[in-house]
Amino acid sequence: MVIYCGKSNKNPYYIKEADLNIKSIQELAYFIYNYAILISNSFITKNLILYIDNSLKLPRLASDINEMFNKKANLTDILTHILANSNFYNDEEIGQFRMRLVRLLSLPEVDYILRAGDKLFQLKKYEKAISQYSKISKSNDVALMRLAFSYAKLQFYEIAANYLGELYKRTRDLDILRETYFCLKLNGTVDKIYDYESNINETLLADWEYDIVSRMIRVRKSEEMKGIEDIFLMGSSYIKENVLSRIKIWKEKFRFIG
Amino acid sequence: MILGISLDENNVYVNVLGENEVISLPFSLGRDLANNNWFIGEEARNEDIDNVDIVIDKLFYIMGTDGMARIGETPYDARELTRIFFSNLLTKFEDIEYVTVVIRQSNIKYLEKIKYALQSFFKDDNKYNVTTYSEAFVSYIKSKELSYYSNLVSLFDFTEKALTYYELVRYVDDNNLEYWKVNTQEHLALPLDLLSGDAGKKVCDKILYDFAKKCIKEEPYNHIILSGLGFQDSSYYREFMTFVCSIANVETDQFFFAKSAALLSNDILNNNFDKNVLLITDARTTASIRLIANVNQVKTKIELIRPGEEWFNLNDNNYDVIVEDDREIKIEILKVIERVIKEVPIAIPDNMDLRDDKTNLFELGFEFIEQNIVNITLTDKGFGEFYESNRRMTPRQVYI
Repeated sequence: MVIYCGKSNKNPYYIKEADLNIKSIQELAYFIYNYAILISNSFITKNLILYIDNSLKLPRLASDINEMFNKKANLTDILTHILANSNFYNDEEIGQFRMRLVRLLSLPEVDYILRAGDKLFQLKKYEKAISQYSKISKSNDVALMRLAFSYAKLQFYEIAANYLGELYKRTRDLDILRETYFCLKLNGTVDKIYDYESNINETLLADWEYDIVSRMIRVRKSEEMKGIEDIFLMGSSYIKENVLSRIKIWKEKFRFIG
Repeated sequence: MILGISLDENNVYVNVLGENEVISLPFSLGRDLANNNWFIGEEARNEDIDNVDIVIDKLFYIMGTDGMARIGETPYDARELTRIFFSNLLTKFEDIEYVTVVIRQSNIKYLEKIKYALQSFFKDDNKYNVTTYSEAFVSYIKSKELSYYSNLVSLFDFTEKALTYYELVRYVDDNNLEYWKVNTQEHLALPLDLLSGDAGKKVCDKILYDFAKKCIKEEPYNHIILSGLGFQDSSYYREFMTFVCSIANVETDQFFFAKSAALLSNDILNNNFDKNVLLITDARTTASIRLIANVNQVKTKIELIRPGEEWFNLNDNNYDVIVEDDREIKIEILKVIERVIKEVPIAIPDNMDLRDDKTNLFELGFEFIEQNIVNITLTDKGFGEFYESNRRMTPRQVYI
């Protein structure tokens, strides 16, 4: 059996907490169910209620949420009510959600922040993830590593290398040093590795170089690379169309940074 | 000014609502290359005789075959030629409030091009309608008193290329829903050239008579309408005429469809449609298409396409569905007249990976190719910004 979602809605609703647009009640429910850790009391707003009413054409649900909102109902109850009226999750899943929410709320603050950062990282919202990891990176090694990886994902390799180098100094873990080396390699400042470890075994460096070459070979043979090569084989109009769609994605990203 | 326009293979007929006169012109387009002027109808042909222009005399043929025509150095496709023709035709009329263009066949190739031409001219979808002769036939009958159509009403249309029979049948089903159904039967092998000689006229009368005997049922008829150029000269079809006059009142109007198209324009403008009547013509769907889906955890049949909707005017006919673990979507087709239900499963191909977190969102699209053939497509949509679409599509052609 399938779930009927009706006609596509073109108007998006921007979820500030995750830098994310949703366009259907199912997407909203999915976000609540899977990313509840990112949701705070400020999630339920008049704008969200208006969106549910006008764009998603669910006036009854909007009216219910509005009433609960005005009566200052518990956030868990409001979220559960949305899930129950989303035509997406069944009663069993909603029960599991409530239990998960209780467990989340009982987490120590550091774990809570780390998980929130991980969820944002999973959504590829690296800027938002950085803001979470930064809160605890001074005292938490895992947060510091993920902070570095978030910068690496944004291609800020120098900053990533700095954080990884700092982590290496704390842990003396050679795997971390290797990641630092990779970031420096991508940044074109590979000699800086000696700032973090002055006494590196030459065989180890040769292994890492071999790793980099192997990765490059793998990347060049990958499906994605084949896809890009195929675009160029399709002719100029196809290239233009695909480049335009990629520029659009890039612009969205850029505008957020700006 | 409210207009009705009918097209056949060679001619265009225009009627202004309320006027008895019908403007008739050949479906031809010409261009004066020296002065860059376009001409339509006889004007285009005259320019050809003067040997200064390029004339397209087979515009209807070009429309039906998606053909091209090169004029000077410029190639024009059928859509553009149709646009130019209608733009030049409609410019001759002032303050057009609404126009309906009718053609004999419910062929998407013609309908799309004419719609494009009218959209380009008016820039407003609420000023035009493109449909088939059957719809105009219904509007004509609706304009009459009940006594005109209390029994069957039929129509013979004899154009330069074809003889077609239309019959309006009305009945009420067990649920008190009234049906108006236009049946059509076409007899194509009857070119008007046959009437050029006496022998041909006799043969033609015989063919008409045999065709009428085959079409007319042993049921009471109120009226029989004779339309088209073929019935202009009444001297040759005596046997046929004697027969139809013995059945019902007979009326002849060479320009029946242009006038009826103007009536249809008026009906649309005034929303003169009875919601309790289900109209079934070649321009409308005969089936209800339903999706079997889960709505708030309850198995539900959702009607996506209603019977009686104009199948070639169905816009934005896409619906979102989320596939859980069945790897198929079930569509139910209910043929309302025959009362037959057909279940059509649309399978998700094996090579399409499904995610296990209820995020397999697909767009279910319907596109009618003909009245009884619908293309159903299932396209992966990803899931918002959480998952990207792989753009895979599963097409399926379904015969209703």
